[in-house]
Amino acid sequence: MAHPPAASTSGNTTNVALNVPILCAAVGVALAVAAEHLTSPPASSTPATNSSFGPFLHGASFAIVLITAAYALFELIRQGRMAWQQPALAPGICRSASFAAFLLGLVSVAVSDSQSLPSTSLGIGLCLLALIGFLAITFLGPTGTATQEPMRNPELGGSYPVDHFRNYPGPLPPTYDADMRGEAPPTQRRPRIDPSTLPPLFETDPLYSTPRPKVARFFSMVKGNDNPIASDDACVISDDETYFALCDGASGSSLPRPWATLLGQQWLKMPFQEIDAETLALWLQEPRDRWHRWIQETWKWKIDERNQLIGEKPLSADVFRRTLQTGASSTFLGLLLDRESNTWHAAAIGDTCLFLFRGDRSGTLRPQFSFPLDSSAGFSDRPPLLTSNGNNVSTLVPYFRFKHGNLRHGDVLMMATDALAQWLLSQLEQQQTTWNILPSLTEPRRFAELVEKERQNGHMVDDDTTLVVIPL
Amino acid sequence: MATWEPEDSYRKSWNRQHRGLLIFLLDQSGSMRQPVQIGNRQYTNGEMATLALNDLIVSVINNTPIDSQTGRLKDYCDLLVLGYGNQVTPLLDNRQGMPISIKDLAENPLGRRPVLVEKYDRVQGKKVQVQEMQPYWINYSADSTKTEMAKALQRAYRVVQDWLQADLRRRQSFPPIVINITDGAHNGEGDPIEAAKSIRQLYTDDGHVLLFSCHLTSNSTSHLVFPRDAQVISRNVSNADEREWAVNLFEMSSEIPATMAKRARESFNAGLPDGARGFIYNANPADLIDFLSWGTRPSQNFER
Repeated sequence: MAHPPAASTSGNTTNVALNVPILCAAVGVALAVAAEHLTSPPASSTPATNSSFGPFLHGASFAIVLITAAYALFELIRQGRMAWQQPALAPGICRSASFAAFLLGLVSVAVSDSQSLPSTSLGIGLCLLALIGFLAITFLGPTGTATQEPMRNPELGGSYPVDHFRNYPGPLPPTYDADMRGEAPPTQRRPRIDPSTLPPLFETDPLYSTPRPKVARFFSMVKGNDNPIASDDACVISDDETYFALCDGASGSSLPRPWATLLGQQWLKMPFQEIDAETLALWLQEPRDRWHRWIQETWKWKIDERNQLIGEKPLSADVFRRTLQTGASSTFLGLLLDRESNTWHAAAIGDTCLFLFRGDRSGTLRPQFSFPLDSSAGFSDRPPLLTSNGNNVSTLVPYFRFKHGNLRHGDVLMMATDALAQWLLSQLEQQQTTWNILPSLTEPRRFAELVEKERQNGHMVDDDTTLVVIPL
Repeated sequence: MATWEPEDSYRKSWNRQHRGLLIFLLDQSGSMRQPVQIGNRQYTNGEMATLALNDLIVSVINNTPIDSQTGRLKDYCDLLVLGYGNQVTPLLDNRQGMPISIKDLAENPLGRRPVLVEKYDRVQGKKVQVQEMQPYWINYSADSTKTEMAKALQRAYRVVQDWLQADLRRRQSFPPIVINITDGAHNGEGDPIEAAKSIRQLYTDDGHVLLFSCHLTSNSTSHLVFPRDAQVISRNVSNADEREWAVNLFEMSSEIPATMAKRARESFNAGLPDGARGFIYNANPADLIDFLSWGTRPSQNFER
């Protein structure tokens, strides 16, 4: 029997689970047809074998129909509850269910006593009804990608490639199928997949991507040498490498990394050289909308899907509410290079810093300035931040800093998040020279070694540390 | 006993690699049944302490960031609550007195009940009281005849010691914090002052274990917050028994580290004198909650 179309429309776990009743029904059909064929007297030439073999098959197919029906009912209730929470899943579930009902109808027709007209016609009627329902949902209802619809909001433009919604790269681990095909699903949730075998979530999400500039150089280390996906720093660089943004998400806030990236993306779209409350409100509008939408649609959906796979509860309502209520915060540093007029502009709020190094007569690079903070004592636990939730942006305006200057051949601009910026400033204050490998740094390994060493000897705060070196 | 330069200690923040430990000791002796008048409602000391403790757990949870990968709280710290009366009983009882990860605790409260919380109303531009359903983990109980405070402190000592030994990385963490909520009167075996001293001598690379005390009495006319010396207590507490116990609890409490004092100043605009102790006397609920919610926040813990 051909693979049921319902199962192949999407990689959704719902359909995978429904495969079980559908396959059982298919086996039931095959058995019933065989039983029918073997027990029908005219076609048979050896009645002796029929009498013992036929009824056996009949019994087996009945048993399978009953088991299948019970399992399908169980699955329907479970998935119905899921669809209640996640309405986008409903069409897929209805379709799989009607297809299963159709198959079950076939089985019942096949195994029913062909002499009894009412029961046969009832079976055929139900069967046709289910088939019509299935076809209606397939061709008239929402498209096969219905479950993914909310994520592909056309307003989000091209920043959400279809590719990103592939559920999991590569085939599912072998344990998946074997376990899912077990008898009745466990009443108590237990891990079906070891979470550590799954790739980190959002690895392919554009809001978690890291830049790969060609001329500029990008280095990043996560606090406690954690996985890069755990970093709350976000860096966005335009393709022509004239727009740069580095934002340090406040890890005490909720989901700061996507917020930091959205701020960076907004800088590429709408750079500014001064700001007032009205412009800032306008500027923040899009990142704020998109952050909230990302939490409600992509994040919640992914977490629920992952948790179902590993046998955990869906995202708790408390956490979801709190995430949206507290919102995300981040520092912001935007830099714009104008190669035609050889000038640059920078805008900043918070403690992510820009440094300019310029060669002196002997060719040695000397620090020219750092912006917006110029001393290692200026860093505090509570820098001003751009937030996803505030409704009074006018209070933020006074905290913005702006600077511009000329570019000279041989200059090196560096953007650094607070731990590194503070370390660099204290190096310069104490006239130390460990920093001077930074402007010419190319090897990520060297950066990692430096940060690790300085963290260990207590000179650098163990925080997400990001550096962008821009040679001119 | 190890020593540190003040600027080198209490600087670590909690994270997955360097998790923290919080231990709360809750006095459940019969003496906690003394009535306290708050507004037009009457509570007992014990009820106040229990409410405050639940509030504290809520505030720790609210301050723990959410892990974007799991949708759960980040696994930043472990928490243990020990009640003491005739004996010392772990009150978060599912692990035989082992500290519980904050993320597991957050997901398993005993239940929820309505509480009044102060919130900043952006529209009105001021703080307003709103009713909220809040989870709780501890039930009120005060029926013991004894108050085994020394035993509770000794138990906390062993827990801290075991916890530090269970994972080498914990040696580099912000030191564990122990908060003792009591009406002050020790009535049992041992000497709580000595027990407190031993706890404070435990340490990590980032500093000594911190022991803070919250002293609740039915005498609500005077209250003290983070005093610097015992004389302040003598001047402010009239009842002789209470005075003795207040002084004892003051002596038992750690000095507030400079990094935390700085944070307190930044957060609450309240100046703390150098050498102020983590001791609070007859706190009204607001004081208590302020004390607890920033007292459990190590330097830079929840920022960035």
